[in-house]
Amino acid sequence: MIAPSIEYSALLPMIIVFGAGVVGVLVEAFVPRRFRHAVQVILALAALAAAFVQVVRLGGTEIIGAVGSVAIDGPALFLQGTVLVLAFISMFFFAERRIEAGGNAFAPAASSLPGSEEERVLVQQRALQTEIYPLSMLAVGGMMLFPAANDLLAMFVALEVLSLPLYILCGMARRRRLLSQEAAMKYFLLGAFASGFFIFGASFVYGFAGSLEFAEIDAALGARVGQEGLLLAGVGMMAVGLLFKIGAVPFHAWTPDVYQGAPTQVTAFMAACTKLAAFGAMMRLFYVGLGGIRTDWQPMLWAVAIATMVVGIVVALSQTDIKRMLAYSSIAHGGFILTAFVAVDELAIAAILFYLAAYGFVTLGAFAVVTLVRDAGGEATHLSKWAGLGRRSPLLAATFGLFLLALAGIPLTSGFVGKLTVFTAAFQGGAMPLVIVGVLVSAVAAFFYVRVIVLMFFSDPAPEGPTVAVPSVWTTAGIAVGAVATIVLGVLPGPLLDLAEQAALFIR
Amino acid sequence: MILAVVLLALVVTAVAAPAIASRLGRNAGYPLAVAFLLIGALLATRAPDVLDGGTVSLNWEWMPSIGVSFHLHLDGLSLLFASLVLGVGALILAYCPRYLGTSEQHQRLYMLLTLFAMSMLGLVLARDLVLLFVFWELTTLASFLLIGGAGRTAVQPAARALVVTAGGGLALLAAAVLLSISAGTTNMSVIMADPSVVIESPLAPAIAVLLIIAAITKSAQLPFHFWLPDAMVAITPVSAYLHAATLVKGGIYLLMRFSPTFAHMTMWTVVLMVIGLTTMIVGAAFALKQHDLKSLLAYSTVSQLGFIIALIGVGTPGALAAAALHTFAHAMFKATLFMLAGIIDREAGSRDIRELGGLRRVMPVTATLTGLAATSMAGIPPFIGFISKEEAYSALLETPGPAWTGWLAALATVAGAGLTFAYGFRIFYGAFAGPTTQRKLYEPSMTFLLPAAIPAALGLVLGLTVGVLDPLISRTVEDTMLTESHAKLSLWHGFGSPLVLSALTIITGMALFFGRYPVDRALHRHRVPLTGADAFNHTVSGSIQLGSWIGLPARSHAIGAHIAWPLAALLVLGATGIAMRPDVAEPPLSTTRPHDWAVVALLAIAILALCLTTTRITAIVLLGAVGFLVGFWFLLAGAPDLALTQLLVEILTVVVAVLVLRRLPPTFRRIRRPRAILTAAIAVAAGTVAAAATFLLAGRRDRSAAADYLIHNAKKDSGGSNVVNTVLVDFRGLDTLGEVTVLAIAGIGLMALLRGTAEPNILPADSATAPPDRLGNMVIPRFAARVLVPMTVAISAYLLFRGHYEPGGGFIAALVAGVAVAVLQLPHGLDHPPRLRAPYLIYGGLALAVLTGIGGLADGSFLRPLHGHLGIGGAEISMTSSLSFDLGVFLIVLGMAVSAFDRLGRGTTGELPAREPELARNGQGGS
Repeated sequence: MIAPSIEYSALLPMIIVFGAGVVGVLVEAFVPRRFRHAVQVILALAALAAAFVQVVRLGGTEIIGAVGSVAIDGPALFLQGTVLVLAFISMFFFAERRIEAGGNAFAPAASSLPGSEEERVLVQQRALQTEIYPLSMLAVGGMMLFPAANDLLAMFVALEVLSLPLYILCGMARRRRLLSQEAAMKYFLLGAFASGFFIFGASFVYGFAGSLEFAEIDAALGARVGQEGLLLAGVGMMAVGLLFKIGAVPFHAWTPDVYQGAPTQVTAFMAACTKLAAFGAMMRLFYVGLGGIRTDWQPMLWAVAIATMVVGIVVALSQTDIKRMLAYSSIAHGGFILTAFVAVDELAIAAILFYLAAYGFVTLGAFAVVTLVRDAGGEATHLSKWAGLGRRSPLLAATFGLFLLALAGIPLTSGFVGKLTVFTAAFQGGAMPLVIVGVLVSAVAAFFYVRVIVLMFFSDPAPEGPTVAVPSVWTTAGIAVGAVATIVLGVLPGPLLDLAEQAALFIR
Repeated sequence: MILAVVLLALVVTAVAAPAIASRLGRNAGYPLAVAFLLIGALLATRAPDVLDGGTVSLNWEWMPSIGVSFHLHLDGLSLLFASLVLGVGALILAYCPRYLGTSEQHQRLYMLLTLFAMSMLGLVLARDLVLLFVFWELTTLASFLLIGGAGRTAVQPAARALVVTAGGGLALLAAAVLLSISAGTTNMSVIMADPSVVIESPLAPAIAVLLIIAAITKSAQLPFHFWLPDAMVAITPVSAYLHAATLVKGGIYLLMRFSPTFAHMTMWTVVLMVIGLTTMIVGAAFALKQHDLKSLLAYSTVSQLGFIIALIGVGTPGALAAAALHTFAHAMFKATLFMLAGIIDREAGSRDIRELGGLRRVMPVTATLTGLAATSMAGIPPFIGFISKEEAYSALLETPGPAWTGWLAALATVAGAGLTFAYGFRIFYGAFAGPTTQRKLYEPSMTFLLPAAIPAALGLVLGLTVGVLDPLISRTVEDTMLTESHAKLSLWHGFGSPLVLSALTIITGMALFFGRYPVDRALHRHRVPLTGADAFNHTVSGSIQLGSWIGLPARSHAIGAHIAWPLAALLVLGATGIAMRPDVAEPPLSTTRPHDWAVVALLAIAILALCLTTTRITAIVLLGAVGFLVGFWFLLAGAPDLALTQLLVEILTVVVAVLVLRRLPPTFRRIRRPRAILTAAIAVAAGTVAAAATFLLAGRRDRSAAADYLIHNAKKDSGGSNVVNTVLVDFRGLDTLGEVTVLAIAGIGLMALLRGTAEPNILPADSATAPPDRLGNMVIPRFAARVLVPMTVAISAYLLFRGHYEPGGGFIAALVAGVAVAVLQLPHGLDHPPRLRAPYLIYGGLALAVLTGIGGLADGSFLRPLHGHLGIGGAEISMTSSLSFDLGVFLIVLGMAVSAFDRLGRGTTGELPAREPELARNGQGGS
């Protein structure tokens, strides 16, 4: 028996990130507490940067490696690169220590009971939570593997690897810890439920095709007759698992609670990167593995896309908490991407890739701004507290306004170009009704984003309103990158669009 | 290039505006006005070219991958609108300084006004569909910010204006996308050059409708007109510039721009004329009702724009010429009137038209200017407003189609124009006639009046020398109709139908004016049942209500509510699949053996009882019974090791669950009946679908290749006859090592995470309910333990050693040993920590497993089992290192079980943490 060959250079980005996660655990164990934070931050940033460099060097690679289980091709590299950049910025927010007066946004020890003496002592000692870095490295590694997974098992493993650290990260908020833990619990239980669906469905599809590899599943689609029931049941269940990660209706119920309860930095990271990874995986599974039966799954995704857009926006309208509002908006954006998803062609892939990147920057920035608007109890997320923010802190409010305009898809922001490409792709793919719904929903969406802008700029500040924390250079830099990316991708989207277009070919 | 320079110059001006304003205060308007004039002059250098039939163009790549370019283009139509943007803009900026107060800051206003001018200019220069849309939205945004900047009362109107116009913007975007799909390009020059490509595509009607929606939202036509009167909360310069002269003309521009393509489409003509004329009449009637000068002017704008849109709908060169001329004329008189309204407001402190009486005595210049503009609006010769109306009448009479349509349109216009005359004359009358109501007023400074005087005078001068506009109007018509045109504008058209209609208009207007009291009564008697703004507000609050209703399930704290959705979706999926009656083969094995049904019946009873029970302990016991039954069923189906594992796991689950149970109330919370029925229905449905799916999908495959291989080769390769065990310890030994490592981590994690729990303290505070002698109570179990534990340990050891050949193995043995530990532990009431130390078990097991693996290196690879024979007496026992690996597994699993007993068995810390005050989700619910 010959040992399987592994294409190390193509897998190097993932190896670097996973390696950094493992080294991070060792750092936790052996490096003295005082140096730990600095070491972890440097380690994480260095690993992400190194992995990114390697992804860039791999540009144009098209191989199926690791004995058929991982495909390194255009979409995979594009998404890996984007995840790395977004994670790099997320680390900036994780490293922020000025807002909490020396602490970071995470509970000093996640295992200490909320409200207990132990917690009080730890807070007093200014103990720093540094396990978030290895955890997030592992999650990033999973997110890189997810869109590159070329068989059902690798995909499931990636799904779990990216999800488990996120469940933990969600429960680590420094403030409102019970809310945070409830969010983590909910996310975990529902996430486990969804993963169960995925693996169940995967086993059905395996039962049908006799193989886990996408190429062979594709080959089996035309060849086997009489077991479509098994196949379709499997596809449906896997779709449930993936749509859950995307937060599509009716599998969205976790999103608002989790986005609200998780530490906002984690919410930002999760909202930007998970969606990206999940859409990447979904594209590969449905385009490469199941493209042959697209007429069977397209109607299902049509229904999901419409429900997602409509429910996301309509419910977002009624929210009075900024994080919940952004959560529902992220649901709706998932719906917008799904409209292109059903088109199944290269134009659609390029559109989705661009949209995901553009949306990632906007989301990161928007949530990062939320971390800065604070009152005595931590972040002031109730919308009424944001009234008149434009008077108090014009620059911050203007930045947030920019992100909201981008989410609304107003021209000269990245959101507009994203929406334009996505809807164009959907239209050319024959999904005219989806586009109509999408455009109508966008109009409603614009209304509620603008409502917040109105609130910030044209309302009188509340007398006991929140203060705007002065962040360290970390958060400032992160938000600045998000804002610049939002404008640059809106004004000069050409280069990234070209890149997405070049990348829009799945290797089979 | 010059076009880009012009736009850039405006951007630079906008950027510089705040700095200028912070230095000069309100007077910043003057340098900005000069800047506008200079930029206008720069553009004007190319005007002769354009008027001679040339164009100025600029085409830069912008988003090449989706074929969008930064394409600017100056032709006659663009020049007409650009001159309005820059000319009226300069006037307004010169007007601002005297209008604005000295106390406030004006940086924002000046910057936004300049930015607006830039976007408006970009809109009329854009030659790429996407670019057009970009500038279109920018004008909307600028308008929103300018309205909203007027203070608290402006918030709602600003939002309404934004939503209506941005909604229209989306229609434009959709139109742009459809156009680019049908024409294959976003380059408007290409699209314009050959209208047949678009007009013959099936998308043409949709494109036309979307363009019309975009235009009528922007130009405030029925039924979207309501935002414009609302927007009058903005300060007067903004109203004059945006909501009279330029922004609202965006829709006009759009329709004129696309006239070459659609002008000959019947639907285009009909829709535009119906909307335009209706709006003209209704808007004018509303205007007649108003007493507030700004509201009157706003409705008047709505009405006049309707007039222009109807003319565009006619789609003949003459009509387009009239539309272009009237656009120009309207900008002149409406800008004047707004500026004067602002002056009167500032001086008299009121905009009520009834209080203007006799203005000429105290403010003669203001009154004269008002008179000039009002006369032009009313369409009285020799003003430019008269000429444009004359042109319009002659164009309307030549409306394509049956002759009666022309007359109908013309008469409708007479009605609208008569109303316009009536309110125009009211303003005129208010200024010049009647008793002077406010004697203390005096004329404002000339600098305040001059910006208003210029367009007022132009309205007269251009009326007399209208010929100078010929080239511009001709060129505009050529651009919009793609035909040669030589407009000959003149004040006197000779006798003919237009003149008769004009006379009729003036007579109607006079009649309406002199009968103003009965007219007013009639107008005020009928109230509109539902205003646009109300409808808008209802829609908004309705959708917010709907949203909070739909979002309700997601706000639940219960997991059940969250699970219900995906479960329901899955049910629908499964039910659809089953309903499609898939064609499946008969299962190879018989599925109906009698004893299966007996088990199913018992299971059903147990589950039903489980659902009905109210105490937790019963539920746990019943759950255990269900597990046992399933284990028994496994046994009947011929899977002894599966059955064994199932039974043991059930036992341990019950033990652990009982430990946890002590911290929970003894009974379940009562559940309301409707909810119980609902969940029961979901559960039954899910069970039915799952059963059907299992029946349909499972049990129809032969043994897989891997199974065949293992069954045939397990004995030969590994020496073991229990295939399951050989897979665990031999074939997939590395996987097992990984899995037990996870288990080890979980065990240690459990120890670490629950380290904060206090020492056991399970004596209830209420001693009445506590057993009097807890230790005494435990005598029997303790005695039983002495008997049971050695037996259990022996069974465990037996299972461990025979695992390689018969059902058993390290995992199962560890579960049995776990039972022994539990039996030993429970009678001691958990006061004593277990005698076995979980960490040592785990470390030892892990070390043993790894060492065994390393031993395998002696035979070439990690974890390769070493085989040997041990002769004891006559018997020869085959020994394999798999056993020691399995022992490692045993230790780890046992350690995990012990740590669970240890940690879960202890009490909690003294009191539960205080609930965080923030726990209540303050961020939810409808507003």
